[in-house]
Amino acid sequence: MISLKPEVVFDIGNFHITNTYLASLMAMIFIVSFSIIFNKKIKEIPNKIQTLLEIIYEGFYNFWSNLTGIKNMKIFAFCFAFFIYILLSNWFGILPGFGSIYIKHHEEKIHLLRTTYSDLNMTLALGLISVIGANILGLIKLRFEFIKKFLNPIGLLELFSEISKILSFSLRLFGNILAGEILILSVSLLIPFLAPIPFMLLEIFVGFIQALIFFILTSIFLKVAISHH
Amino acid sequence: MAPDIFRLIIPGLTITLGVIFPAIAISKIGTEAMKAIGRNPEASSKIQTAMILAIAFAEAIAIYVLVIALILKFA
Repeated sequence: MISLKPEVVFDIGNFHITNTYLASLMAMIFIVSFSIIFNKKIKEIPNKIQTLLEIIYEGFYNFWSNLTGIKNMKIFAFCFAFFIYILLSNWFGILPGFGSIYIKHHEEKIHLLRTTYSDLNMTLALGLISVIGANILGLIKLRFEFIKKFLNPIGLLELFSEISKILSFSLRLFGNILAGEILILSVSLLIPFLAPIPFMLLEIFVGFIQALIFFILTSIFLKVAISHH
Repeated sequence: MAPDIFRLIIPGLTITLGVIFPAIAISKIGTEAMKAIGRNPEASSKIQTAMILAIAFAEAIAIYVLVIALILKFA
């Protein structure tokens, strides 16, 4: 049965390596190595893969700058990194091997790999990065005007809304992905053959939508943080 | 009644009562967005973005309920 907290696969000193951490490491290594290898192959005249990636990137950049009204590639990269990382982590969770390979740890049967965002720690980390990053960018851009926002009678309410943003970011992603895991698990307990496939397709869609929502919300909160009132 | 029965009933009731209002909200958002697209098909891409965003906010409430139900069930 699925548990709310991730299982510890092995320890390095006091640091627990959990199965969700292993899965996130997999996605990270994939993104980093792909970027390094692809970076060396970039040419003036693009080949097929480069053309495809450029179309995707430019499409997202146009969509993003229409949405926020900011024309800055660096800020776009900050928001788009969330999208790529969440999307790939969610889609890695549907690969064969996730939830089907067991190992023994302290006489207990545990999964070797598990979808990254079915762990509240991971989603909370992303929410914190998103909200704190937006606030730091606002502080750099607006300086004193940004601090003034918190220094009036409604300042406490502003502070509370920042905290509730972190909570809603982390719980939304966590709930959606965990619900998908439980859905696939309970369907495969009822009818193990062929029946879970439509639900896995649904999970691909949900993974994309959740990544898109995280991307859009991060961009909008960032726009609110760095714009003058 | 035995306390075991409550352990089964209460998470079920939590999710049942909790998803009614997000469902109403999402249906309202979807209806209005479709009406807007029907009236003005050129603006459909802008409406879709706003619709997905609004649905995400409404859905978040259902997700909170789901998390609470899961905690009641498993923890």
